[in-house]
Amino acid sequence: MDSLMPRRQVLRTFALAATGAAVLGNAACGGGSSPSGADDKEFTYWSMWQDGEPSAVVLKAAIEQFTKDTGIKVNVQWKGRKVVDQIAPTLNTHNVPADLIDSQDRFVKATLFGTKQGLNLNSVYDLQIPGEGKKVADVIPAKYRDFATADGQAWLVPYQVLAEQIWYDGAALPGVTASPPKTWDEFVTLLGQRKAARGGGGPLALDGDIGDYNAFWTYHVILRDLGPGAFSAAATDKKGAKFDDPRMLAAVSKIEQLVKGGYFIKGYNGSKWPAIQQKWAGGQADFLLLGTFVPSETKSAAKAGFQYRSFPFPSGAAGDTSQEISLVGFAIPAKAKHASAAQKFIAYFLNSSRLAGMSSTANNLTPRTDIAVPAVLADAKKTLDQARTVPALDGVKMDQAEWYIKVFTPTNNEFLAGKLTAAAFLAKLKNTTADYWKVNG
Amino acid sequence: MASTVVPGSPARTARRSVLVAGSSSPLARRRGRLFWPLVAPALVLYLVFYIAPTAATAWISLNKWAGAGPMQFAGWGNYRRLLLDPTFHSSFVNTLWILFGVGGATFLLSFLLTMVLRHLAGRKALRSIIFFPNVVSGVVISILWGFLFQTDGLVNSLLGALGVDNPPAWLAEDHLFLVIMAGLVWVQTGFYTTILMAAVDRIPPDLYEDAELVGVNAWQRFRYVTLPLMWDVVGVCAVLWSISSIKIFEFIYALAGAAGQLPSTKVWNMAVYAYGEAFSSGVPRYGTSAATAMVMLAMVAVLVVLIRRVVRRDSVEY
Repeated sequence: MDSLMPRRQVLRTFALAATGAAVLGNAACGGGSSPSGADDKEFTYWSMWQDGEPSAVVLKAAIEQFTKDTGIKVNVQWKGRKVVDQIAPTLNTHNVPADLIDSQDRFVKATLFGTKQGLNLNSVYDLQIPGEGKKVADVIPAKYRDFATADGQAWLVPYQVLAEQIWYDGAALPGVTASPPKTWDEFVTLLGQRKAARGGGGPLALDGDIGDYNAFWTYHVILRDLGPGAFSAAATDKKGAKFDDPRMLAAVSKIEQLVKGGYFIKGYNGSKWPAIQQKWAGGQADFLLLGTFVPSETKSAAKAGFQYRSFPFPSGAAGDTSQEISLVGFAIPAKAKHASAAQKFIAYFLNSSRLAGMSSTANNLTPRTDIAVPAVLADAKKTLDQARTVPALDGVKMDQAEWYIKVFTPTNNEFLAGKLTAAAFLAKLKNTTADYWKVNG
Repeated sequence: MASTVVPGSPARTARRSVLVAGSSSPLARRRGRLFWPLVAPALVLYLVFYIAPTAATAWISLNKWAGAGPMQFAGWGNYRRLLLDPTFHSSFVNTLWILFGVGGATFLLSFLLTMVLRHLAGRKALRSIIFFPNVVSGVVISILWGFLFQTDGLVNSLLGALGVDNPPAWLAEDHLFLVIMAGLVWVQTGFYTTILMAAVDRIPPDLYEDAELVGVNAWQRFRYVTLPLMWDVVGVCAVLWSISSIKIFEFIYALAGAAGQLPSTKVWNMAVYAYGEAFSSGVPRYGTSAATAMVMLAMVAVLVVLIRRVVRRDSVEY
């Protein structure tokens, strides 16, 4: 090497390259920031919404007003749904690029709270909401706060609530509006009538290529027959023995009854989302078990005069009437440099006049009970106000995600496709669950 | 550097002699001074953007890590988890199916098309049409492929017109991986046909005329003229396919996943598995994700070495 280039020159070359790399690195990391404090004059917000989405429109208006009212500049970036994945690699560094993010509950809990990289948001609940004379804790019901709190630490402050209901067209089925089915038997009777009215066509819509949508059915019958927490308990049973419970067999046999009875629309397990939910909106099926995002997602495919109505999943043996939910809300990275300003914005946005846009413009439910809901979500809101709320899928997708994705979903997909009987489904789940916990226990 | 004659082949000795003689000339010395300034930028970029991330991935694969928070050294624990995880097993098998099944079908079709198109008028236009799926974004192509196979899709409509009353549910889990493999063959065939046709185009026509004079059939023409003269290109194609097939991701993700969710684990290959470990849901498992990436890297390395050994032979000059 020495014969080709003097040592001094080699060192100089590497020094130049290293300097260049350092300059590039600093540029990539962004400029310096002042430490977190009450006098923050700006903060950076990475949003789960894409620019132009209804929720983004509402947030953007609030951000502009916030800057006018407080002088605090908000550097907002509309990152989209993978925002948590994008911020995750930075959480270990000293240059966490966002002071505020928002996302669905399970992503925040896993990536920020689960790695101890999320700020404890308890203090946000003590902040005054500008213009209202109330604290955040006064307007967010305890059930939502409890949902988003673990080990005494609030890890999310919600601003949207999602809830699964059974949706139908009120204009086409006025009888259901007058008297929605409350029990499983009433529900099956109604399905029988609708199937007959359709000349044998299945009245239930289901995009069976989406594992979660299949899971909602199985989860709900377990919830109604065995009560909240039963699904989660079975998932975490190291021997899988809870799948031997005769009540479990009775519950999932209801799904077998629906599959074998031909109650699901033709092609439900051979189509690509959103084909079936669009068929439902077009009147080719009657009922769709899905979240409160249904009206927004299917609006463009809905037939003329479609009236969005919904009722809770019918009760079962346990008499359970709880409503499962998931939350969308704000979180702050533990190393955020402008956490104080971000907290102020959360409190500011939860003012009823600003949060109302999430309902009126974005067609979503909010955690505040004093905000009027869009007509299409009125039934869901009524249920939420009255029922006990439980985490969607018993929180299994949030807390036992690997089991849910690798063990439960593939087997449940087979079950919903009619490839397994109820008994075979539970037997397979029992074995694969036990195998899973042998490796992961 | 040695100034004596070193033992070795005549060519090596001659080259070494030139270097030894050259190192003392002013031109060679000036050239030598420019060596590192010219090489260093590329070397630094290569080290920073390729070697360092690969080394980091290897290190992460030995740790339990959620992508944030502290790392916990796990030794070979992540690799052991892969060995015990049925989802990894099926992902590995699916990867092999893509590598050999899709690869075999793609190359077979590419050879057939190459042979057929050689004699067709308008072959350049046909080649462009076949190449078209490569031009369009993989995500778009895969979504389109999914719509073709819907219950009410074009494929079932055609089957219905042909009198098939109950066509299969193509996108059901039983058939989904088959549909994915067929789609991959469709997308890849144009690419490899184009390369192979370019190799065939440079074979002198008089060799084919000679072959016809001695009365060979189509298979013999392919076996004794075409294949030997394009063998080096076939080898390159095999290497390209091995590397790209193991990394296939977006076609499966976009075709079988929807509504922000990953596809069913039954159609995962190793690339989707690596992604799923880190980004599916729940606390990320970067350790097993990185371990999967290292297994993929090892597979690629082994395959490339094997392919180079299999296809190594003296190239035919013409």
